Amino acid sequence: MKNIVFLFLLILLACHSKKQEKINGELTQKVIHPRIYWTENPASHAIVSWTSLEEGAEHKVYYDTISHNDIKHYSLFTESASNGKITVRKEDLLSGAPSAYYHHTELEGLQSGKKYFFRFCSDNTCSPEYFFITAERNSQNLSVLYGGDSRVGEEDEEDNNPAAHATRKKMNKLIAKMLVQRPEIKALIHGADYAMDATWKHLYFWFNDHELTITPEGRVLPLIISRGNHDHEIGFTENFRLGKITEQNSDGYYYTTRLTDSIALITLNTETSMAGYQYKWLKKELPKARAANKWLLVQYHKPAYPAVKDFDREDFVRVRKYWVPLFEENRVDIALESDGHALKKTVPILKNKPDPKGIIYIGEGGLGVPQRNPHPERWYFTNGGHASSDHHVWLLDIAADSMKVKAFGANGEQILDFPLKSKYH
Amino acid sequence: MKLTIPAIFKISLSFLILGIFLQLLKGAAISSLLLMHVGFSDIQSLYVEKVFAISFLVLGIFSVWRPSQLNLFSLSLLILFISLTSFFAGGKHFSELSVFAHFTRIVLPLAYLYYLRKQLAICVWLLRLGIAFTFATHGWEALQANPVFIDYLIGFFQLRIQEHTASYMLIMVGIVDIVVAFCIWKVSNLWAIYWVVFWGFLTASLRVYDAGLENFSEFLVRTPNFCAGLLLLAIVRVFFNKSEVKRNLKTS
Repeated sequence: MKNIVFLFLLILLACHSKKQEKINGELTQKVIHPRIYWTENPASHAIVSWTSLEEGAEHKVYYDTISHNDIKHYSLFTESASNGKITVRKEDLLSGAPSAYYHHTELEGLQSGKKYFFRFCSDNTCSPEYFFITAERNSQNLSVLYGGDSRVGEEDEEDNNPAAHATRKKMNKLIAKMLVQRPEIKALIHGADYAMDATWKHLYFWFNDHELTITPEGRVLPLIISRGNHDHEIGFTENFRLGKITEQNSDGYYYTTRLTDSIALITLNTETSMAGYQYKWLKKELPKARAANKWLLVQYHKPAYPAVKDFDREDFVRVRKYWVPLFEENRVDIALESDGHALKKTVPILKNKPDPKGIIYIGEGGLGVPQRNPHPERWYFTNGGHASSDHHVWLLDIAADSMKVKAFGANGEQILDFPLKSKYH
Repeated sequence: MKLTIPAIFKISLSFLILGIFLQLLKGAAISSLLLMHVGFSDIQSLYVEKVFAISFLVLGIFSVWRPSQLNLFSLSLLILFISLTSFFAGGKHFSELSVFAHFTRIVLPLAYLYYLRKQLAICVWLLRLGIAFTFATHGWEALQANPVFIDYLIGFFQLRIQEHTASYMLIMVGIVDIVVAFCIWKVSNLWAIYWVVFWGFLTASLRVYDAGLENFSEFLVRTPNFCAGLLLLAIVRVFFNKSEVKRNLKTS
């Protein structure tokens, strides 16, 4: 009799475990937050990143140059190179952000200028199919978007969560719309300060909102990331990965992106030492990049020529003291800056004075963050410069010898438009 | 003016008040919090901050001119509030430690209050507490290789040192800061107080040396970092004879 009872209990336990497995199986269906990061060689390499709500054992990206309905038909797959539990505190859970895991998979050996369809899977749960387009190595033309500061903003009337913000969503929808209208846009250069801080209660909602940049056809716009003063927490390094890059600067978040064979973007990090290793690296990198590229762009978070904050603030002084002389020496074509929460375009500046041969600094951050009132009376905005309080995203249309730079407001209206000649000779 | 203890208190408080006032006028954490978290417009938040700055200055002037329990205590509370706004606004390296890093600023008005009440033991205790917290926090930041400190060092040596050298130097600085904080708090050591005066002045001056004279408000707000040491030194020298100095430092 005892044996029968024991057997019965065993069967009951097994059934319960099976049921539990199924419940867990349903939970693991959640693979969210698709994103692509471009680092040094976007013509042949990209990082596919996502979030899963269960740890899982196997994380893979299936990809191909043609679309497939079935996961089995993709000709290529790569195992995720970096997986881990996202640091989650009690207050993150209270905000509605669930416990989650990050995954970063490096796709290598990609073909230049190709459409890549992909799905990411954690165990047997796979995402819908998305696609992105790799950078075109041989092209002299390139269109990219630039914007920064997408942390907080007006609260969303449809969503009670304070971390979900209407203006940020609006800007993301605008980006998706622009991508549909202008499929030649290749990437979004992000000037940092993504969320209020890099804790999960903010990043989770930032990634949710970022999905709005995906077009209805499933096109994911690659991100070229930088690090800002609100991205210091561990959540940033967990969720924004550069993977394998040269110079061992992966944690430093400064690197050169070869957008095409003739266009390079140098991303710098204002949140680490500006005068140390990064300065040495920049001193070597800039002449090389200038010599090899018709167009040389730089981006970083804290501005050299601020539109809003105090001109003499020590971190801005440091950008002018250590980096700007190198930019000028190497004839950088344009500098992209964020942090201020305004829209700005300086006059060309050389040796801290207006000079037609100088560098134009644009940006200051308007991807959803509440806008501040800038100082248009500052010398670098008068006689050809611009400073206003407008949410915005920049479009850089780069051709062989000229670049068209445009700023679009939150409703898609064009606010600024100016041409630029390459300083390459 | 003879450099008496009340004079040192008044000078350091005046510098601190002016420094904080100038920083608030330029736009600080209060306006940032109002804009980003409370939903004020930029104009409203800057207006509130300016009103706060002027009120702070008026209270500060009164505290120096006509020191009383109410105004010195209020001044201390307001400085604590400003430090807390830095903590909540974030966006700076180690902003989570702002209150501890600013402890000499916070306790200075209170130390003056107890000095005026002739409760020297409490005055000395507050000064030591302020120095110990400020030095220990800066020491911790140095040990964590705060990139801002690295750039101060590289800038001080005119780019002649490498980042790794600056990092090693910071480890030394961090250890010394923490040892000094311990000595000020636990051990009666006059050399530690001399060091506080020297190092506090040097590091405050470095802000101006690194980013130019326009940044003198950064120096002003750090005046208590060395003046607290100077006051401690003056109080123990004036009020206690040499043999009593150690004993009083211990028992205060």
